[in-house]
Order: sequence, then C-alpha cells, then structure tokens
Amino acid sequence: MNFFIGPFRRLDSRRDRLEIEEELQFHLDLLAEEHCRQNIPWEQAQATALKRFGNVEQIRDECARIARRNQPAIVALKWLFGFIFVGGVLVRICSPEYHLTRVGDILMAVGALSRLLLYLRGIYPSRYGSKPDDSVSLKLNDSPLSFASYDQRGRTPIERVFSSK
Amino acid sequence: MAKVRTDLMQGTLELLILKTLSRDPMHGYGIAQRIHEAVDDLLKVEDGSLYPALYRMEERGWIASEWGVSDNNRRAKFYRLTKAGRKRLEGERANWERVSQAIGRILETA
Repeated sequence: MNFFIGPFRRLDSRRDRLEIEEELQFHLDLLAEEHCRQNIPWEQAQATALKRFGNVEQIRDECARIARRNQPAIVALKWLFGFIFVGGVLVRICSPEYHLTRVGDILMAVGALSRLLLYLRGIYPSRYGSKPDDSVSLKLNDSPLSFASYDQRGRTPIERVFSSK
Repeated sequence: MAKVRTDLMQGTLELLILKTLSRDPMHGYGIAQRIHEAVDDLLKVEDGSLYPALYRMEERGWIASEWGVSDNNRRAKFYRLTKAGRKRLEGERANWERVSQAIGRILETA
C-alpha cells in the first residue's frame, strides 16, 4: 500500500517539514533525557541539548531544502523540461520548414529557461553535487584532550569508529 | 585552502555514518551516540549536522529511511545502508586507507 501512497505523500512539502521537525525533536528530547540522567535540572538539560545539537532552525531548513528537491513532482518537472528541450532540438534539426524550426526554437527556449529557473531556485539534481555552502559537518574539538587525537593504542578517532564494531 | 579542508571533513562524516549503519539500521540519535562513544568526544561532531548529511546520503541512494518505533516507544526515523551505500563504504574506506597511508609515509620521512 505504501508503494502507492508514498509518492503522493511526498508531494506534500508541509508533511515533509513536519516529519523533519518530529525527527529533530526526537533527537533533542533524547539528548535532554541523557543530560537529566546525570542529575542536571530539566531546563538546563534542554539548554545543553540545544547547544550540543547546533542551530535547529538552520538544520531543519537545510533538511527541508534537500527533501524538497527530491519530491517526485520536482523530479518529474526536470524530466519534462529536459524532454521539451530535446524535442525542440529534434524539431529544429529535422524540420525543413521555417515555421516549424521556429516552434523548435520556442520549445528549446522553454525547456532551457524552465530548467534554469529550477536551478536558480536551488532545486537541482543531486548528481551535480552538493552546493559549496552545505553545512560544515565536523570540527575538531578545541578541548585540551583533542590535542592528542590518538588513544593509548595509537588509533585515531576515526580508526576507533571502525574498530568499535 | 579552507574549502579543501571543509570538503574533506564533510566526506569524513559521511564515511563515519556509512560505517555506523553498516551493521544495524539506526535512528539519527543512535548514529550520533555510536560515533560519540567511538571517538570519545575527541572529534567534535555537532549532532544536528548529521541530519543534512543523512538527507544528502539518502538523496544519493546510499541509505534508505523508514519510520518505526524506538526503544522508548516513540515514532522515529530509522536509516539503513543500501547496496549502493555498502559499495560506497568500501570505496571510501579504501580511499581513506590510501590517503592516511600516504600522509603517514610523508610524516615519517619528512
């Protein structure tokens, strides 16, 4: 059933946003509970959780932007504009009549400009890669401990992630 | 110069996420906890920064997500590695080993 309903659900960007908020809220609640277990008052635990999490609004918006460009409707539009452009090129090449080559020009212009519009709105296919302003995800801890990033067994933090499994 | 550093770091986070998901499906909090436990907070990973990375990775088809119920009976979104993600992990891991080996050699000789 989900197979049929899923794509239509994805059309609803508000629903996407609500799901992102629910997901982030779940994380924040568990973080706050984790701090509470260390006998930190609830209000302080929430503040610490928020601090550890980062800028919630920025993260929510970034996730919403990524989810939005994957919506089937947007993907379908990209394909449609691509086909219109290719159709225009074919008409332009194959048609010997002047008025038909004009139609080809119009189709090419519509296809190219619409794709450009989608691109300018920040909705572009993922295969073109991430935007350079995508959030910086990992920072070196500036606490004194991070100076020695190798543990007693000489492993780097990343090697420890691999060896912990 | 700064951009090169940023890209490297971002790729590293994706590698950590791929490896963390290689055994079990997990929700975002679980992934963050697993990474924090493993690195003993020597690397500062802002929990929130995992999510854009997770969404990007899902977009690229390396991971897939599904809503389920967590241990504390709450609705949570679980991520799992796809076949493409497993392949990506192998490639990234090999690449990481090559790079770290090369840098190690330079540090030893210089």
